Amino acid sequence: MKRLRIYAAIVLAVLLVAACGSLPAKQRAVLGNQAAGQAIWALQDAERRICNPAVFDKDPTIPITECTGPTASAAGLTTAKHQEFAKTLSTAYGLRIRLDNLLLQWQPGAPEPSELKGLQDQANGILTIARSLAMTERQKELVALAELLMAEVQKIAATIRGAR
Amino acid sequence: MRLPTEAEIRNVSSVTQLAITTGIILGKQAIALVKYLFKQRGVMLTNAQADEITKAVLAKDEVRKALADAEAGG
Repeated sequence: MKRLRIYAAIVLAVLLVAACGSLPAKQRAVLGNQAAGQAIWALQDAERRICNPAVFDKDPTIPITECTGPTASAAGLTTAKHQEFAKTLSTAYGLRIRLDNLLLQWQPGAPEPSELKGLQDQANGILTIARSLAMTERQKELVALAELLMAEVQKIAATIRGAR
Repeated sequence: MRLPTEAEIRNVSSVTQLAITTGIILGKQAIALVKYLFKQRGVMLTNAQADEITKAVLAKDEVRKALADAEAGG
């Protein structure tokens, strides 16, 4: 009976490992990239809404070139800081676009795309800016989104490295 | 209900049967856990489906980059 319990426990452990790691590497990388995209898009919207809620609420597709209003002041988000944030996001998106194209062709075993390291650096830069803002609920929201972005980018890197 | 013999365990031919066999020995919770884990695996994507997801993400990234460029100024 004891041997049966040990055997059953081993079977359960094997099933646990199989269930967690059974998704193909490319699928995990693609879904991770999608999750990272959702994080950075949400982060961009959150920062823009703090910067200028009037313009954002009217039409979120209109470029915001000036931070005004009490929420921006409370967060310490100046126009200059918003421009710096946008520049960092632009660099991050440039890397993401290259990574998106690479994922369309990437197969497990291929070398890790160099864009991943650059993207991690940009995600870290975004997090640094978010943390530098004044401590408000809005700033905490930005930091949480930036940390989520970092986590998703690191997951993509781990998936691709693990598949080599 | 009798416990399965070792020979019967070695001869299971399906995941469900294996889960049930494991559950008989370790309890009902084991069956629930195994079924939950396999549900969490999600539906396997084909390569074409994975590429469609990435193409949609790419299109959105390009739009978002254009917006960031317009706001970066300078």
